[in-house]
Amino acid sequence: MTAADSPGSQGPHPNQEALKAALRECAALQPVPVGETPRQVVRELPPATLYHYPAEPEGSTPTTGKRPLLVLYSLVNRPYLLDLSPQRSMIRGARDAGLPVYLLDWGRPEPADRFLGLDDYLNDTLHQAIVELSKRHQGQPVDLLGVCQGGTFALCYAALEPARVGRIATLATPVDFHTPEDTLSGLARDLQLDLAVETLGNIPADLLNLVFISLKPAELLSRRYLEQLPQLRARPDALREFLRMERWMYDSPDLGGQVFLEFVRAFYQDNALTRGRLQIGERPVDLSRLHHPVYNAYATRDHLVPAAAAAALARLLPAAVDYQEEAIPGGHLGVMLSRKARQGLHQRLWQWLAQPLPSPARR
Amino acid sequence: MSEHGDQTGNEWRAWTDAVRDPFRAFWTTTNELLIGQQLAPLLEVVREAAARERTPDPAAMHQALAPLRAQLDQTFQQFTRTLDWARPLHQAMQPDGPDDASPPPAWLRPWLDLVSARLGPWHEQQARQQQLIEAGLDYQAALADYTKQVRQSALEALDRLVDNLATTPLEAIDMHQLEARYLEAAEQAWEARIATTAYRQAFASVSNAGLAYTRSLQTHLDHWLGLLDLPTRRGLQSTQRRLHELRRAHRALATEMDADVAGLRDEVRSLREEVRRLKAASEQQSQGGRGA
Repeated sequence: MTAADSPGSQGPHPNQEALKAALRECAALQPVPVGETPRQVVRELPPATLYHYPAEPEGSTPTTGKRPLLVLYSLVNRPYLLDLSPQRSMIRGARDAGLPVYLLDWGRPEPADRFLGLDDYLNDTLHQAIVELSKRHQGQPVDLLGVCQGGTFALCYAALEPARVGRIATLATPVDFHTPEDTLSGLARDLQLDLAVETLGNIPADLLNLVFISLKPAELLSRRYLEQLPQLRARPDALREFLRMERWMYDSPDLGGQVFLEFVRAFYQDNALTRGRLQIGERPVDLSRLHHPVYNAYATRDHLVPAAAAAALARLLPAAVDYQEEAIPGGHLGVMLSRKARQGLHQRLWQWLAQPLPSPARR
Repeated sequence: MSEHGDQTGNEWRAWTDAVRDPFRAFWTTTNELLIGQQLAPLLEVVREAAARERTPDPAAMHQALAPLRAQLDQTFQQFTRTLDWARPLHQAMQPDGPDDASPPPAWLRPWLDLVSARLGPWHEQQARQQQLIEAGLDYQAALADYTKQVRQSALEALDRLVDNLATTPLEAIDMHQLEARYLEAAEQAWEARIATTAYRQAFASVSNAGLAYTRSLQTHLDHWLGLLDLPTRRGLQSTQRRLHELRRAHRALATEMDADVAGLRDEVRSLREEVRRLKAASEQQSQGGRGA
């Protein structure tokens, strides 16, 4: 047996030296910037903020005559995943494709926001953002690009206010929350949600992160830090991307108490959207009301939103809907970040979103 | 220091001593696993088999992993025992009294008798304390059940590793590859475990019991803060709730006003139209009159 084979007794593990070096390089690169695409605040809707990503260079073709694209992200993480670095930015990609891009950042709920429910988020905040954008774009309907839970919100809003929405694109979006391989749903099934919200108020981000880590501890802890990180030594660009992802993973907002309760109960526990029983603000959410063109992309090996949970959308939409579906090989984040998705799916998506809406008779 | 103080200090020291060993064992196991020391005997078995161009013998691999299995087992057992620290106190508070094996400290006896009987001006407070202790014990029991799930997964990982090496052995394996195989086996075992109903139930129980314990602590603390006229959680929540209701009322009012304004706009538009028509008619009439 060589020294390297028996590191405990005969010397340091070969990876340990690489790890030490990589850690020193990490320290030198920190803090890494994220969300660098220039943007302007359109409207504050506390705790949310509506942003616009103006076209570059300034003075290029104005986009106000086009249908606006509103990006909706999940409540549980920060939306700069979609603008992680200039090289890996969905938002920059959409903007450079000539789309008028807006983002509704749900923000970081304060303790005083604990009673905001789905009704407040969708029928107030999102609704106001959409009305505002429609006004800025000559009363046109607004296209929605929903990512993960943001996609679920996009579908619900479109069902509530069909006339205000144009095209709908959903990425890694759960629709059926009771598919057999949905581990997250299994864990949520027996939680006492009232007790959780009564006790914790807003649900601490650290707690949610622990649950997410517990789904894949070997990959997210051991493999990530002990195998992947040492391999990034002396590769500053790759290391910077690693650190950006690291920053995003644990820079999570707390989750508003009431909206957590309502979302987990209605979607994860009751699967109300799929069963046609969902109500938001006492208004029924019926996906069969959707007449909009829909592009639904999901990952084949997603441990958070199983492929079947996302693909279920196809059977809930009316048959006449112009529906396109794309399965991307890989995991949850790959749909937004992978090179393959950026060069393939995203390009197709920008082209699809730039198309005019079908005539009302066909919609 | 008083006699009671000495006794408390001794008990505290005994408890910290009891806790130190399991944590040290846990840290040692983790550390040794990280540096691969525990996997070295297994590596020998796999390499010997490879040298003889044979598949590694599962029995020999299990034997090589026996010390690691024993260490994991011991660590989990010690951790579970540590969780049991409050049980003697709870038993002491039962109406039947403590069992002889773990009597409460003598200085605690009079207070415990009162608590058990639920008498006196502070019996509500005592009931809250009792509830707090019970919630703590429920949490400990739930955490022990959850720990069993983790233990089972850790042990299943070793079985999977042996199966994996027996079915797909590597020709020239080094420690790094063996560690990667172990990690893969651990991951598979964990993923299989968290998909089971038993894990789901243990996860829900530990989460719910943890919340109930925290809630009980909050109630307890709020009571004392209220007595001191200090800000309480209850007070803060009611303020937040009223603020939320105001926000909603404001939103409803704004929606109503928007509808009113839209209605008024329509009305003004139709009135303007009517005025325009009347003006036109009157001009026409006056032109007709002049013509006549």
